[in-house]
Amino acid sequence: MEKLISELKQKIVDTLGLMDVTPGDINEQDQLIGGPLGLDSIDVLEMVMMLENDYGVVIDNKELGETVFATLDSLARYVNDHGNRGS
Amino acid sequence: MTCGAYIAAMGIISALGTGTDSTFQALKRCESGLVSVDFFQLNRPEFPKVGMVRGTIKNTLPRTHELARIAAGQIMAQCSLVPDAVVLGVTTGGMLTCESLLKAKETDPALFQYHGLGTVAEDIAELVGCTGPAITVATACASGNTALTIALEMIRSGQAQTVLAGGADALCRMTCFGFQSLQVVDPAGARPFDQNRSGMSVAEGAGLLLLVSQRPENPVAQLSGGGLSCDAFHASSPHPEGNGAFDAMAKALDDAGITPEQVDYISLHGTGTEANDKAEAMAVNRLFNRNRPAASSIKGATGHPMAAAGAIEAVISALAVSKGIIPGNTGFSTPDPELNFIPVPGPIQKPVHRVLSNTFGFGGNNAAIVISETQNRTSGAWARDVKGGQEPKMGPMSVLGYACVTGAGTTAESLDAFYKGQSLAGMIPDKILTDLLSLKKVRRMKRFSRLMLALAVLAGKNISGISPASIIGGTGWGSLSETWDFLSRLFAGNEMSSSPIDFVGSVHNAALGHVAMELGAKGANITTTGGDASFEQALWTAGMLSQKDHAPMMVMGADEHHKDLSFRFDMSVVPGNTASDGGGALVLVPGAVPGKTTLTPRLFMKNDNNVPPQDALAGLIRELPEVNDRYGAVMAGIPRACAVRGKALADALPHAFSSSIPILDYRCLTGQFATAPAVAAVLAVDAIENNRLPDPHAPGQYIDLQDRGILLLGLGRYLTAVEVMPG
Repeated sequence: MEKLISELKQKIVDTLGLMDVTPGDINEQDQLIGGPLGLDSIDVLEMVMMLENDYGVVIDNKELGETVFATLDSLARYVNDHGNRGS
Repeated sequence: MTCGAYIAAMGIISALGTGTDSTFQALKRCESGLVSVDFFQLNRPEFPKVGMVRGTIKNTLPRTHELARIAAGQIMAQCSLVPDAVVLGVTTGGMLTCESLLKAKETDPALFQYHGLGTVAEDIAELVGCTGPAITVATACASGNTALTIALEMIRSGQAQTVLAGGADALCRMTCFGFQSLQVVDPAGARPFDQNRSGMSVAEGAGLLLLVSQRPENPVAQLSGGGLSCDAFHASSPHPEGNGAFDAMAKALDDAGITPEQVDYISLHGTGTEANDKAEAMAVNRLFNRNRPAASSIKGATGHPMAAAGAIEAVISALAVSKGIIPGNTGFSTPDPELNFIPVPGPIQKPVHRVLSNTFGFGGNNAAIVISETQNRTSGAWARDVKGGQEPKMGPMSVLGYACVTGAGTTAESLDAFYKGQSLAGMIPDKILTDLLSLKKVRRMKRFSRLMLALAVLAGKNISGISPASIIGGTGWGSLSETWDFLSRLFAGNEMSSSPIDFVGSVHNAALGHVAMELGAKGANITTTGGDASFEQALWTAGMLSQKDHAPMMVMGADEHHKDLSFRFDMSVVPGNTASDGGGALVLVPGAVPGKTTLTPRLFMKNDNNVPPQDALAGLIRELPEVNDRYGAVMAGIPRACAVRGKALADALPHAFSSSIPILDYRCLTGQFATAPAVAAVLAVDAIENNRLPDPHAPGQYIDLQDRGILLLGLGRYLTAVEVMPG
């Protein structure tokens, strides 16, 4: 799980072009969307695509997205439970 | 009441059918035209239905061009008038063809010659014999109504008597997968305003209206007003309370000189997405209060044909007025209690006098128009009476601030190099752009948007206390990085999905949406495009709108160089030569402000290779009779792809002007990119303020302008002239 979390941190920084953020700046319990990283709904969709490509995780509705993308911790748990491959 | 323009003839093609008659019949039957796309492969069997034009469409030219040609052909069959100008909204242009070419790794620029959005308007102009300006508006889904609003101003200002205006777009992978990636496509087909709606249906089509100033024999209706606004809120989501939509509607009604009570029908944008329909319902409810007229969106029937949406809906609005029909909101069945908004579910036949038609798009762009019945008059009193042969002049615009970005650096470095006779060619390092902006702001932007935003920030620095409300910018090729990255990822992933961030950033108007957010500019926000005359198109548009708005504007032009796409799209870009990009921005205010340098658009016409240079220049001389006393120098832009023709014209200039006026070929300095004229305009303004221009033939020496102006000439596919005069 720890490995997955640090992997996801790096992927978030790379996928979303967070040039002024390092993976270490992302706190697992912080609100992911609308939180300190300044992420919004388009970033969520970009992460949806990344999760589908890299982990085989499909998130295709808003309600599920809101739960999964609440925090990095919730995201990692969902990927851990539903993902079919590492990257 | 403000005068309008008569609609003399109309052409339409959409998922609902071809021509006004079959469209009217389909509307009466409340048909839906949504089907599965069949002319390119979608590797997702479950891909939702789209608003595809059925039947065989020729493929001599890209599909968008062919759809526009069909609509234009309908107009030509009704009316033989040759328009003075063509104004089209287009967002995909030759994209469908381009996708296939890129997939096949083709590199021959000749194969991509119809990729540019502007080539649709140029092709239609050629088809109908128009030799005046062909302006292309790329404000995403608001493009069609924006084009119609500009066309109306062209007629009101007397710049044109007849304008062919509208919009066209074809389905392509970019729009199908782009909207899919945003999860805003309804698998069941668009159900605008329905409680269970879950998105739009991507579509295609074309709508054209022939607008005339003088009353024709049997006018269909009138285009009587237009209103433009920008949310300045988010790149792809509307303002949650529909503030920008409200402003555009209110402006359109005011422009048409009518009150909300006088509207009989609202043709809603109603895409079927949760956010659009909610924002639009709120804005409409606020504007119309308790007296909302009948309203419906036809996008459950046609799908959402992007730039063609406004134009197709304008044609249908004119049918509503001329045939007395209120179209039904196809797909709607369950009212949404959150919206307090119930559209007309099925068609109603009843008299309709005035229609308000809405369109909203990415970048927070909003455009609404008013279509009215034709008053029972026998003369052209509704339109401004322009005396025969006396073309009204577009007024000067005063320069309050300016900035440029070139290979030499930002404004100060560029001007320094210019006066030293050094090259400005090259590409400014990305680090300089991001240092000017904040990393948080630019993280989702690639080079084109960063260039535009940097220009706006730089130009805004020296105009304290003035906030431009309108932003009008030209670009030859738009967001090349996002386009390339989106398609590369799509192809790499077996055409299943691609990046939503790249899709939102790929639209030509994404950059000006960011500029509007940065400056809080909620007025008109217009992106024009058309190869080497893209900046001139922006300047002309600004000139026309300034006569109406009388407010400060930012007028810009920029292009990014992209190593994979620039040489394919822009025939002036040759691999091996110095890769160049950049742009310029000017803060302008209408009228001549004492002490301020002015810019005045003077000539915009097709540069026909078949017309001998001296004859082509005769038109210029007619327009500018005082050339010898008025200008101290000419700055000419000769795109490399038009070098032979451009040089012939430049060589013929001294003879035409009967003087040895110094000519500076500015592309030798700026390098080759479509919006080099925006840089040239900034250089010219600074040169006027210094009363001297570097001597192109003697580095380090200067031409004394002797308090005269500079004539900026564009010698590409269009012959353009802009004068820059001392204040």
